[in-house]
Amino acid sequence: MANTTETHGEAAAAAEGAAQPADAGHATTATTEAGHGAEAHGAFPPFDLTTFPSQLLWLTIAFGLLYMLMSRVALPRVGKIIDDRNNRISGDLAEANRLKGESEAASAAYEQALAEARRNAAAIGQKARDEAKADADAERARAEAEVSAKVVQSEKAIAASKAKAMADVGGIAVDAAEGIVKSLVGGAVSKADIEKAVKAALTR
Amino acid sequence: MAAAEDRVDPIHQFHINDLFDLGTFGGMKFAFTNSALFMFVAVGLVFALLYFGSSSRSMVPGRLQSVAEELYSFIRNLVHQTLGEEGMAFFPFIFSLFAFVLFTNFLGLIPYFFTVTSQLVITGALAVFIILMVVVVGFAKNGVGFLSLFVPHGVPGALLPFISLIEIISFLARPVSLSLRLFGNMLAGHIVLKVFAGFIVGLAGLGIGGWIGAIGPLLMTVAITALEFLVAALQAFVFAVLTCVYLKDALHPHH
Amino acid sequence: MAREPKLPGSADGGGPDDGELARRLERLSQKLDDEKREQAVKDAPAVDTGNAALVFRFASEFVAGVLVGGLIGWGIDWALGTKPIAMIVFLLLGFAAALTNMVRVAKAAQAGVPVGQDMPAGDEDEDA
Repeated sequence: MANTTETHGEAAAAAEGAAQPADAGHATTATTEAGHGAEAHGAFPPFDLTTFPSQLLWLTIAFGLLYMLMSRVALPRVGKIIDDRNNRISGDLAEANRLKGESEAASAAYEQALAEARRNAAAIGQKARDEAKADADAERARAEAEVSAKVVQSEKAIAASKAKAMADVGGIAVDAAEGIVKSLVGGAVSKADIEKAVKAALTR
Repeated sequence: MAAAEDRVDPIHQFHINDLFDLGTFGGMKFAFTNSALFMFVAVGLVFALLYFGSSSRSMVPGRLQSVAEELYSFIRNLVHQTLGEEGMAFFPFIFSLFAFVLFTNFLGLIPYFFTVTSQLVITGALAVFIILMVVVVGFAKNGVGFLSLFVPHGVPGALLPFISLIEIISFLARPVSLSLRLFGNMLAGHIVLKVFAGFIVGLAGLGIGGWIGAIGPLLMTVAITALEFLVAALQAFVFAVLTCVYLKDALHPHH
Repeated sequence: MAREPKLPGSADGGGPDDGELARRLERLSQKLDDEKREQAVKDAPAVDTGNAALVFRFASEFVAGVLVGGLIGWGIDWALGTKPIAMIVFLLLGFAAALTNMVRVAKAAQAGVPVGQDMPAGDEDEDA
């Protein structure tokens, strides 16, 4: 109650009633116990009309201030944070989806490369096998040819030996037959006849 | 002596005390009162919560930020669901209303603190302001069509003026009833709290036996305090919700 | 022939990683969906106001109706100088309005409508 700050024309009246704020002529209840001011009213405080103007004034100021602070400063700040987070979350989700697609593509590429490698490996293997087989075949053919050549040569040698033997056999047989005939018959048969006869016997 | 008497008097807490006088204007006395002080405390707290709750701007919110964001999302969704996209213009207002009522309610639960919402003139003023706003918005958005709100269909012509008057009064009475409930809840809750607290003080003053006897009222006081916290939050919530619903009628009077 | 079984084996070794990633992604989207749904549920809070609250509500509706009616009547009287007449008429209208509101509240309460969706103005059964 010490400071009655006044600028209006009513300053005089207010200063006069500084000790007793009951100079509010219209508030008759306030005059009943002027000594204590507003505190000593008999009325139930929430229904005390003399306090209404002050409360309305300060409610207007306080609520107006709150509204200004909220709509201009506080709510946009909080709203921005929440929006940012929501954007971030959806962005992250999209990013995750993109990465998932990427990894799937990578995995598909890997599979493809793998299949190709497998195919290549199989081809190389096949080729090696084929080459080895061809080598082996050639080797065998060469060996066989060699062997058959030797066989042919041997057969030839054998045939020659045989022919020579046969010829020797013929000579021996003629000599033997000549001797036999000489001792049996007594030398009357010519050598040509004996040869002819031996030949006929051998070829038979 | 007088102080002890005051503490037991359950009505004393609702007294408006002038902290400093501003003088009289037009026969009305103005002063900065304890009521005004707590209004500003509430405004300061709300602003501090939202401001410092959003100062770190972290992606993973801290405790303060969670509270601020929760409060924000709660009211935002409420307004969005009730009023739709066009109603988002009222979001700051509804939020201010909710935060103001919530914080003044909570502040009043702290011992020796003043409860702004236990003053009829405060809740009444809020109601009157809501009515004026809804009427202005209603006419601005719908023109004369806003009046169709008060013309229920299927009423015979002779009865129509009568019914319409009743509808108008019914419409105007809704925020008034709302503010009465807020006022009544806060007033009754605080009186009950004070009465039980008074029992404790009174019984404890009787000596050892009184100390033991005071345990009952003490437990009651604790329980009622818990209940009062619930009521304080609920009333703020109901205030915001019904204001939204009320605004919806102004935006869409016929549907 | 010997290396053939080894190659599919290594391909399988890459398989589980991919499957794991897909599963984790699925889990993540599932969680986000759940979050969204939970949020939606949380956003429509149904507050159970007990019987005492309902009684209190009736009382406030009644007082408010009569009060508004009386105030309008008083205002008309004050403006037109018809001292008690408008006041009486509008007190009665206010009473009727209070009853209307109380019936609406009762209907909403009976239908189990949560706080906030009750009391539609105009016709009672318009929402839904």
